[in-house]
Amino acid sequence: MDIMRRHFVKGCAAASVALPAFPAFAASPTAVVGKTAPDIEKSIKASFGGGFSLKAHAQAGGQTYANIEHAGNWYAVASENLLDWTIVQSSLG
Amino acid sequence: MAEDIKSIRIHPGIGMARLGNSDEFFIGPEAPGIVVDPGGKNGPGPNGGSYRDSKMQLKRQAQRFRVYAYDANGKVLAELNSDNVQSMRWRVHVRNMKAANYAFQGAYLFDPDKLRNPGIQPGLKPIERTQLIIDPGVQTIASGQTTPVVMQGDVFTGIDKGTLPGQLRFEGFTPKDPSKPVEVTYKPAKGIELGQLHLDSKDRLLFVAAPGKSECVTTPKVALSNPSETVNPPNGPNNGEDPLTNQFAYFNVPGWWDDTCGGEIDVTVTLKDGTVLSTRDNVKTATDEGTRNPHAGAWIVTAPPKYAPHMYHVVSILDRVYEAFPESYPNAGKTTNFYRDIYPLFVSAVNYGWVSAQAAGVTSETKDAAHGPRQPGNLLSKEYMAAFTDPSENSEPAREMVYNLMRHADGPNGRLVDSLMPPPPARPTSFKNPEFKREVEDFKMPKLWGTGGKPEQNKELGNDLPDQFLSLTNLQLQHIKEWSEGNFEVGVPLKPVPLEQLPLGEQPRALDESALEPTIGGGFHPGIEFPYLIIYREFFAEAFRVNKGIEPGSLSAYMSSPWQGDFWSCNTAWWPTQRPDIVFEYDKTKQTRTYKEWFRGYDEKGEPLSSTDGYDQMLYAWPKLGMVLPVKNADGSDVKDDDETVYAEFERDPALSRPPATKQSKQ
Repeated sequence: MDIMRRHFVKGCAAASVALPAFPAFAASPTAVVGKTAPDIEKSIKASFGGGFSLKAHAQAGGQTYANIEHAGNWYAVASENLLDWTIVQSSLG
Repeated sequence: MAEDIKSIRIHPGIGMARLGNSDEFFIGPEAPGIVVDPGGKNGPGPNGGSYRDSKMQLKRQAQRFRVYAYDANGKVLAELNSDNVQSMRWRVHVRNMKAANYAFQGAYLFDPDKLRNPGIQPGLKPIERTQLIIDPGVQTIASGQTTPVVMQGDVFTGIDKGTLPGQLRFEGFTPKDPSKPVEVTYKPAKGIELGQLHLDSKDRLLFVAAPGKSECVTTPKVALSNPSETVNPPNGPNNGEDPLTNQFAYFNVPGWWDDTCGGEIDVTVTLKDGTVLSTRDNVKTATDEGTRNPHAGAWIVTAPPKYAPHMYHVVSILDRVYEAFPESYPNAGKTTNFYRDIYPLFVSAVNYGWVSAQAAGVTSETKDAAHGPRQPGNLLSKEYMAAFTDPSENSEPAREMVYNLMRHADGPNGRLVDSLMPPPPARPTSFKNPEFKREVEDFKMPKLWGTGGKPEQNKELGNDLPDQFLSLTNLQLQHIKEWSEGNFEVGVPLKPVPLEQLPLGEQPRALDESALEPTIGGGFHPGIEFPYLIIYREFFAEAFRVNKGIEPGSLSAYMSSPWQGDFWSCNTAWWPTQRPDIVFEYDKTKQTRTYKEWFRGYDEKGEPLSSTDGYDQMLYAWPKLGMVLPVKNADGSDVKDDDETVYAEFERDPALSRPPATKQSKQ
């Protein structure tokens, strides 16, 4: 988790935007477990397009949070079912 | 009236119908600038119609053909229909000749010695390879006939087995030694629908395109793919000599058919006094076959859907018609009018910023420097428009800046056709002349790929070709030049006028133009509705009229076979007004936008649609993908941001957002 968070912060810096911090994964007793990075990456590509890549992710409170990137643009996104994602914040303004 | 009529002609001269997997259809545009409503209700269409039926299937777009009577001086006397004639008998002959045609390897690299499906009926001309042609034969529909005529044909007939290159990708089969040919068996495809003929309430012809099916007839099946990406990249085995396995392989996939078509439309009319008039020569009675008169008969082309119906490509097939036949250009010799000749180009350019990542200014190369709202390329901003509509010297620098940014086609005449002579089926050679050697001007506009293909791809293959970026036609550029020099009138914004409100004499041209206005006139690699053959006068009797001797299906045969592979492949800066690259979600409150790729979702196997190898996935996805349409305010007006119309995605089939297993578990 810490490693993922560091990647996330580094990515944010590269994009020169402040993205919302993920909720603390360990703090939630209802955290979704068992969803691996490949599961999430697959869902991200299906939902946003194959050119989007997963840069970081976390799961907490029944939600999956992810930082994704496309052509230098960053989105912070959230989903409770790995099918429908909401863009929480974006480097596009 | 009968005694004054000297000829009849069908309009549009070249019609355009579009595929859809629904049985329902709507009629395409019949006057320039009109975006038609697809019918139905509670949808995002211009009048609240829906592009999908109740089963979420995509409606087909039909082309209506009308008949006009002319006097000896070429004056339009009347539209002939059931109101003023005894009967009308329409005659239609379309074909799909793709599987029989020459391989497509880029217009400049055309090689008449390379055929598609080369092992079947080798050594014959395309028209002679009858086993590979879907030909429903001549079909007719006449007054009083209430049931549609479904035009069907067979293909890959009478072929038992053959061999294909082992480097191809096969479904469920991997050759042990790809260097050796693979034996395949063929099963003929029968009863393929190429389209339907209907009559409207006044006996005008409605040509309805096919349902958009495609299939491979071989066992094992050849996967729709580009084998050169994995076998001896970048150009495939044998130094790229085989169009079945080289970098152009996805245009020429063996064993495949699709249900697009092209061909001739004629009509014989019996007036109320019994006089028989026909668009064909040597017709004496209503049922005479006669011979084709290319000046009077029409042509139909069927093509994939246009997913952004409000947006026009900056160069359309209409522009190519006038490039080839400048004597028919209606505004020749007229003073350049800003709102008629310049403003539509700017609208088109800015609209790309809602379907193309590069034009939107969201890629690293164009970040905040393209056509999006508040970006320097927003040509519709108030500041620009104030300057652009000011003919005084004060605004000349702004106008000159625009003109100097425009690319001209290579060669002294600035015409694409000059570098592609002689026409197919001869091998083009003129592009090798020194006059066509020029540095690729990648900083100029439009920044869309051209008929020469992508520069990166050409560099990889060692090809030095002209027209690797799209250029406007000379007629378009001449208007921009006149405008930049202050030689223009401002005019007023054009308001599209429906056909029925136009004066009779203006209706034929309105029909001719409106069918071709929402089309792609470059880059032709090979095109998406009509191939690059549209640039040659030789194939036309006059503007909008396909020439005598052109076989039904023979022009469209130069398109990708099947079309879906090319449609997937052209996912960056080709023709985003038909096939969007990206789509935006727009936040009205914050005036911010985020984008996704247009081609996204799950395929039928539950795999994400790919941005790097989705050739075969387009077969499943195309009727489910979304439409890109203007976002509306509560009062029905378009939402604007920085004077740009805001576009977003509508009517995407939700099934595309769910893997099949999830769909099943919900049922």
